[in-house]
Amino acid sequence: MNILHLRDNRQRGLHWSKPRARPIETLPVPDTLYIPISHWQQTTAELLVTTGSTLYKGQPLTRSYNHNVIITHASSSGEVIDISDNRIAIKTDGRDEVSDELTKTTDSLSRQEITDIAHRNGLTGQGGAGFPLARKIASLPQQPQLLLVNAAECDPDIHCDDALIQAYAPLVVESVLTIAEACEIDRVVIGIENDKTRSIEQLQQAMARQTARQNIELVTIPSQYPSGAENILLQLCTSEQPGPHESLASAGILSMNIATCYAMGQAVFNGMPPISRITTVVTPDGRHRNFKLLTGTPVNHILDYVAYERPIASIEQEVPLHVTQGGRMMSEALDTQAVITQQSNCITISNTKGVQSSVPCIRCGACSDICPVRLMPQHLHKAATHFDAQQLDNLNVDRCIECRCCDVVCPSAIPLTAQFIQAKEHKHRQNNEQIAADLAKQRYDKRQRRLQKERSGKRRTSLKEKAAPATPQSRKDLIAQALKRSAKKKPNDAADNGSSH
Amino acid sequence: MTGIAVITILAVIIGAILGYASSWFPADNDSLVEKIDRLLPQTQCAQCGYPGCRPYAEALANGDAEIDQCPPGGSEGIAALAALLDRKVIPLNPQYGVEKPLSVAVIREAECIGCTLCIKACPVDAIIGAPKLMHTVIYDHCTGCELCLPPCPVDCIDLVSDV
Repeated sequence: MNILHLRDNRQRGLHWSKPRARPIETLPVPDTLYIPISHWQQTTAELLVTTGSTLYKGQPLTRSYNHNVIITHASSSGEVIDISDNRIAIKTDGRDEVSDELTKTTDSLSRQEITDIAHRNGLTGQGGAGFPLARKIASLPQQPQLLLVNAAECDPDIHCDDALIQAYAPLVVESVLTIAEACEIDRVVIGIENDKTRSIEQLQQAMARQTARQNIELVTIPSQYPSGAENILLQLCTSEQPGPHESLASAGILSMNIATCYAMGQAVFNGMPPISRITTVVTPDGRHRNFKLLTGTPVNHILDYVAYERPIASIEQEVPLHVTQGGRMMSEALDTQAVITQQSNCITISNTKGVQSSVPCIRCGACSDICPVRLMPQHLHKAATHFDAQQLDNLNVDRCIECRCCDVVCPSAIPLTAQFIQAKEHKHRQNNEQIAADLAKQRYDKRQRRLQKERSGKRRTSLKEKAAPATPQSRKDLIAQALKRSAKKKPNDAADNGSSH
Repeated sequence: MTGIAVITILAVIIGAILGYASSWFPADNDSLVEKIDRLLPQTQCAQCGYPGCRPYAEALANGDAEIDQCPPGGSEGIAALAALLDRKVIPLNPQYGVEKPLSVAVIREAECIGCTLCIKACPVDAIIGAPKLMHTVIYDHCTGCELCLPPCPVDCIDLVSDV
């Protein structure tokens, strides 16, 4: 059992002692796979299959020219049985036949080519947020400085990256170097926790074989949560820090999860899109196992195969199992329809929901001591309860990385992070509404001024007309002029008629 | 006697200054109108019975209107107005409409006959087009005020909830 204890280090956070990751296991291919279809705002991916199409493993299901839309692929061979708005159901045939249209690459790649590969294969960040990789690479400046590979897996329940490195270190290193070469980055840093000794060994061996290539460095960092957060990892590894409102990519730093690098390697060297990923499954007794799961595997399929113990009482009363995704800290509840996606790093099965009732804040300050980005959660809590937008701004609520450290240490069990997330959303929404309202007001005012001008212009002309009405004399002149014009025209007409006869 | 004269002269002078001041430096009502106007959603939908948000703000500042007349602002808007004007929070008056989710107008372009009536109705100039040519809505500028719906002779404008 993991023990939670706190230390006041230079970098604040929670400390756990983590066991070594267990080797990767596989599950039989499920009967039905549900592949999610990506949407981005109003842009939908174009479907390449219809109900009844025969599919092979790795075959693309969608197409799009928009880098925000993630292209999905069949994760096993079979037949499309249903297409709904957001997912494609595939009845698998169990043969797991690989598509013969996969394109492998062996030459050195340019930045454009690697962006295309990332987009074509639907690669996304596998750390949890799922940012499209093609967009990330495309947003890098002309001269990127650093490729930061995130092998820090700080959540106490997640072991998938550790298992991945132990199994595929050579391919991972090869892939990291290929990405760096394609993006013309000279400096590569891999950040990993110092307690993952076996993974470190494997990576060092793999790196020793690649000495001729770029400047690659393995940095070990103390094992604590949340050192896997991009900005914190960057600080721990290089003691650099990006500006407060700057994204890492725009600062010339390409930050990638090690699992994303592996997926990239698979796509480049084997032409295989990311149709599976390594996921840690935590059973109700607290043990963890690592599985290589196909994208679109229903979570229920995992529950059917992974042995776990349940109290007899909960079976008798038919208490449903509680399934969450994202590890112990970033957990988010999954419903029974949920499937494995590229972001499923950890599936936790528990017997109970584990909801704690909270009591009022006692102002112990434990949350301020633990906050890794040095915010003051107890003050934020007060401001968020009454939604004081100004105060929330002063306390930098936007800098909260939502790591839930404050939730863990709070003796009153206040769901602080959830409250901050809500407050951030509220503030963001209010901001957007204010911007829209200001724009509408501006346009309304401009229109009013224009209408005013038009009205006064009209009045002026009508006044002019009134002031100078056509006199009988001038009217006679006008008639005379008109008569003259028509007289001039008539002979011409006659001439025209004559010529036509 | 001198006392009365001094007081009278003083009164006349002070009266003149005050009269001058009131005509040259009008009461700071505008800043209140401005403050109220900032709280209103600026949809310019005229559901409150006034021809726009600014006129409604002026009416509120003068005390001619109630704070429960703005459906797009909803309960949140009423609460903000109540706090600013130190009035009691009251529910939205259904006479003026009901609170609806944000939406934008969308013209079914194939059906548009190019009559320009909606362009004239739009309070924020969010519709572009020309006579006998197709019109369309600039979604980023549309406030969802619904004012373009009644003038359309072919009913080709839909309101869709914002995406």
